[in-house]
Parts: sequence; C-alpha cells; structure tokens
Amino acid sequence: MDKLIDIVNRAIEDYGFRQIAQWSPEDVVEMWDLTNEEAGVLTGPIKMALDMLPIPVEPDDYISEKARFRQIIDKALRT
Amino acid sequence: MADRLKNKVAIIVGGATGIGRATALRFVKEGAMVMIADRNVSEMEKTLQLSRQYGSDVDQVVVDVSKWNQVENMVDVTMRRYGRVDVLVNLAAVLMLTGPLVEVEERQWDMIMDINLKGSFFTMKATIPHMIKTGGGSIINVASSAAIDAFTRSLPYNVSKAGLQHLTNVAAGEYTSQGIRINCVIPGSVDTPQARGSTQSHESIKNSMLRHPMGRIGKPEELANVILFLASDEASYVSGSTYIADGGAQNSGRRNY
Repeated sequence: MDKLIDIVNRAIEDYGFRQIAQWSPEDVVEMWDLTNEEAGVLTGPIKMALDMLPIPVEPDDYISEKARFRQIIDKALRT
Repeated sequence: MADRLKNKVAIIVGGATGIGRATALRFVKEGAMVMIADRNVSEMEKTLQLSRQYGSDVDQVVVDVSKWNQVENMVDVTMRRYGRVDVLVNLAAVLMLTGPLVEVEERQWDMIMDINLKGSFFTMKATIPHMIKTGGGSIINVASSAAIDAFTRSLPYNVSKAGLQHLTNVAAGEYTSQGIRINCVIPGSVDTPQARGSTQSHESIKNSMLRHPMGRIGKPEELANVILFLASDEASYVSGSTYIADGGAQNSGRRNY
C-alpha cells in the first residue's frame, strides 16, 4: 500500500516518472519490489487512471489527485 | 521541397509524440519509408494514422529502448519490413525531476540513464551493422540544452544528455569512415508533452515563453526540419557535429527555464 502510494504521488507530480509507471511498469515493479497483487493494481486501475491525468497536473491539484488515487488503490486492494 | 528522403528507410525511436511525431510526419512527406518505434502504444497509433495520410510506407513497433532484446526486435522488424535501415533518429527520453546530487536516488539515476543514454547506445549498436552492410547511413541523436547547461532540476537528465552528445562524437569518429554520418541535435525548450509535463504548470510555461528571446518556445516541426536536414543527403559532409536549435536562448543567457 505505502509503496503504491509513493509511486502514484511521484507520478502525479513528475510527468517523467509517470511515463515510466505507464509504459515500463515492470521496471517500477522491480525497483519498488512490489508483490504480485500490488503489481496488478499498478498495471490495472492505476495505469488506467494515470492515462487520464492532464499534462501537467497543476500544483494546486496535487492534494486532490493524490487523495483520489489513494481511493483507487484502497478499492483495488480490497477487491 | 519534397522527396528529400525518397527511398530511404528511417527508424524514428520515440516517434509517438512531440518532436518524434513531427519528424515521422515530415519524413513520410519527404518520401521516406518510416518505422515508428515507441513504448507509448496509444500515441504511437495516432502518429501512425496521421502519417498514413501522407504515405503508406509507414509502420510501427513497440520498443522499450532500455531492453536490448526489444531493441533487437525493433531492428529485426524493420529489416523484415523494408530490408534496410538508412536513417536512425534517437528521440526516446525521459525527464524525471530530482533533488540535488546527494538526494538523487539510485533508481532515479538508473531509470533516466537506461532510457536516455543506454537506449541510444542500444539502438546504434543494433542498427550500425546493417548500415555498414548497405554502404552507410545517418544517425541523429536528439539531446537537450541540458547537455551543455547546468539545468538544475534533474542532474541525471543533464548527465545523460551530455553523455548522448559525446556518444555521438565518439561513434562518429569510429564510423564516419564507413559511410555512417552521426550527428547530435540540441533542442532548447520545445512545446511537447514532455516539456509541458516537466515544466509542471501552465503558468511556468507562459513564463518560459515570456523570457525567451523569441517570445515563444519552439515547435516540434521546427526541430523536425533540423533532423530532416541531417538525415538527408544535403548533409553529406556533416558528421560528428552538434546543432543547437533553441531560438537563440543560449546567447541571450535565458536558456534555463
């Protein structure tokens, strides 16, 4: 959970990292040592939500976007 | 002018968006057979469809340039499709923002270096043997003004782009005698998704434009023009060179935006 939150927080603030999370998720899985379940959340619901983010996310929107992604992660890990 | 690349086969690595997309479109308009290579599948598909409005000899291949087996596949697919490679354009890059040196994480360093520097090394390593067999070619490595400036928002990005410029110089020294011209383009700020993303806010982008001596940042098509020149036979006596295309920002002292 904490690792996924770290990953999405970086992806929201840093478009460069976002691209790696979107298009080279296997590298992120390895570097953050994610479990299979976490990897599935990254390549599933998180990837879908990252694809919809504006370029860039405005700094004023960081808090709300981070909260929204936390909900996505919570929901995905519960199901 | 048209047909400046007639009968030439070009691989455009990082061709899905930004300067890569503009280069793909321009190359197709100039008669080239183009293989668009990128890891961003959805945007690459858009570039492919746009390119096909101007010519049918264009295709795509998914590649993560940091993976040697994927780069080998990219070149194999191109050889099977077109039978040769005359032009390689290296545009794949990522700009991740970091803190100053002591705060840079090893994984940030590795991710940036793997794509920006090792990726171009891989694509050149995989392509050059085919160019030698067919008598030569042209390689254009697209670096960044960060290669020569102390841009302070991502030390690994600066170093990767400086490395790419020097990779160009050394490789040109090694392969120009075998008919392969290898050159580097250094763009200043250009209006691409990467630039907008790394600038981090629309306000910052507006400020960048106001500070620029031209009152604007570059268009991807303006960089594609430079790349086209280097890819074409018009640059037949150019190898091991670096072309700065930043709208005069360097000489105005206003490049760090």
